Amino acid sequence: MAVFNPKKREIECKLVYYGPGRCGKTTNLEWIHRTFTKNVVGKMVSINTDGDRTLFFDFLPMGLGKIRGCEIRVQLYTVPGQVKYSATRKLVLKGVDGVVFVADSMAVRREKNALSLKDLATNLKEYGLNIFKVPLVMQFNKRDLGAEGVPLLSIEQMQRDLNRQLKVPAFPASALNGEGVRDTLKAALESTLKHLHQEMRWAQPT
Amino acid sequence: MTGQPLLSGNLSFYSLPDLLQMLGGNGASGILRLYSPHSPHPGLIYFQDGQPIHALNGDKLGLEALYSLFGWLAGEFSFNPEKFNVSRTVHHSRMQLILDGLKMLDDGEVAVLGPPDPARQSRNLDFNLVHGPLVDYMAVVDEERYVAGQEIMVEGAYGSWIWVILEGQVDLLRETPEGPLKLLSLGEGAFIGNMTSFSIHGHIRRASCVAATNVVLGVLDLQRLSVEYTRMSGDMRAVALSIDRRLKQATDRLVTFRRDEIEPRTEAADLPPVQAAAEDEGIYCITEGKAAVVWRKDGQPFVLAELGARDVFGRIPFADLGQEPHSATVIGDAALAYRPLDRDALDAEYRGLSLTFQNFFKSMINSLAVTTKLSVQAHARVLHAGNDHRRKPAALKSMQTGGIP
Repeated sequence: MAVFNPKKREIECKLVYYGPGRCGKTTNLEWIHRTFTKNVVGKMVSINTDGDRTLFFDFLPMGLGKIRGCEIRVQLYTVPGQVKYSATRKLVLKGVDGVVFVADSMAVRREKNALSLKDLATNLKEYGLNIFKVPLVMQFNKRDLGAEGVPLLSIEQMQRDLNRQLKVPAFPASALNGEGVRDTLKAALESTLKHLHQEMRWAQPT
Repeated sequence: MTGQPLLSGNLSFYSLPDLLQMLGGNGASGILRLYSPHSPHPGLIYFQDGQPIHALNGDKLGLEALYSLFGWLAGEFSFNPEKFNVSRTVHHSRMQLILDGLKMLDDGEVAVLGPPDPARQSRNLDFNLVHGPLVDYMAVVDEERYVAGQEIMVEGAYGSWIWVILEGQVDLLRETPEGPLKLLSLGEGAFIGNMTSFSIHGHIRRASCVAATNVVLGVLDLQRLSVEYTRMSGDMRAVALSIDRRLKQATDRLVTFRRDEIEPRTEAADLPPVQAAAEDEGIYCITEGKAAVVWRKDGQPFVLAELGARDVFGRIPFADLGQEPHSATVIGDAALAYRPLDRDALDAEYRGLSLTFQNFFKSMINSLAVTTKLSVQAHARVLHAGNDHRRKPAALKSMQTGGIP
């Protein structure tokens, strides 16, 4: 749920990167923070939660337009999946405006992907959100490992496993070298902002 | 205090992270006061242009005070736009503070004052906190109150009182040469005391117990429970004592790993599996010989329990230990002999026990599950740290008899 900050004339919204442990969600954010230096505000907050770190920074997606003359500020987060981090997850996921689900293309992680997606649906439901309605984009990460001989799930297989019902935009990626990261982010931002426009029922961006 | 509070309300509805975000977004300056029924003094956070710059919580100052306030889940708050003159002690950004604070809360590093989050309670296996089932007040004869930090029982001392935790949380500790080592915490519904209290030799406390928060303990009717215990069938007593022995072993292992030591592999880890236990859902009592319950992780055996005469293994009808037969293998030496127990009779007998006794079993089994999980984690941590040089000398330990209390 986007927050309107009248003092700064900004609309703040939340985009969360979610996925099974070590799938590359933190890599995505680190790449974005390193690369889009003009858009990033301030340092990245990094918390040493067990397993997957929790990352956060502010992002100004310039060039995607304003809403009613207000700048848009996107808060980018990754969130740890462990059951015990419920307070952290609640703060991050409650009122989330867009989600990027990062799936691990390694064949051995197939089940973990599915479980993580199921967890996402459950967590969203806890906060009154529906995974079918929340702006969602998928990323099939670690495609580069195929070249090193690691058995990967094919894109078709992953689409079948994860995206058959949801039917959201999905992008292959190798976050370690940045491939697919920008496309995923752009699609996620567009989807999120479109949803925001509709939610606020305001006029077209200027 | 100058001026009316600009904002006030209830912490259970609008929590500290929410307040930090809101006051931050508004660029507010002033003092946020938190009030908790569980604390004699309010917590204070000083804001300058939306940024928390200093905090007070009793004798805690600065960052430490601020993080401790994340545990104040119940109570009230009020924000006043007053001027103040304090030096800045907190320099972290707002989101850093919020995410760090929440992580500490989730990790159990911050004391919670107030009703625990029910969502967190139902998943206690990931916490080092054991809960018991809903308390049966029929066998509670007295209530005792302890303040946070007060000692409830001392390791090595004689004592056979059994308590059930009515409110609050306690810590179980073991003495080590390096000082007291915290094992795990017990919460509402959990029992303090062991089944061995009912047998003649069982009266020495295996651990110390200290109140972590203010607690209310229900003292149980030991006489009544003892009578019920002696009326149990020999087989049921064998089950109770055997689970209790596994708990003791798991606890001993946890202490070993937490002290950064690795147990040498026992010879038994290479023995063949016991056919009966692997194939059916039966339950057996060992009459002679030795066995071990082994869990294999990535091909490496991890000994969960060592069993001997009078120990029970297999599928316990009224409890899932989370060990054999589905999650672990029972292996035995050549001399192993065992007899089958009557599952249906045991099941029926369990359901005929008093609710308190059933709860006692459940509490013990929960403790076993959590302690086992913690010892596996601690073992992994020691391995990861590459502590080969800390392994005990090469002499392989032979199996301990598990059968004699």
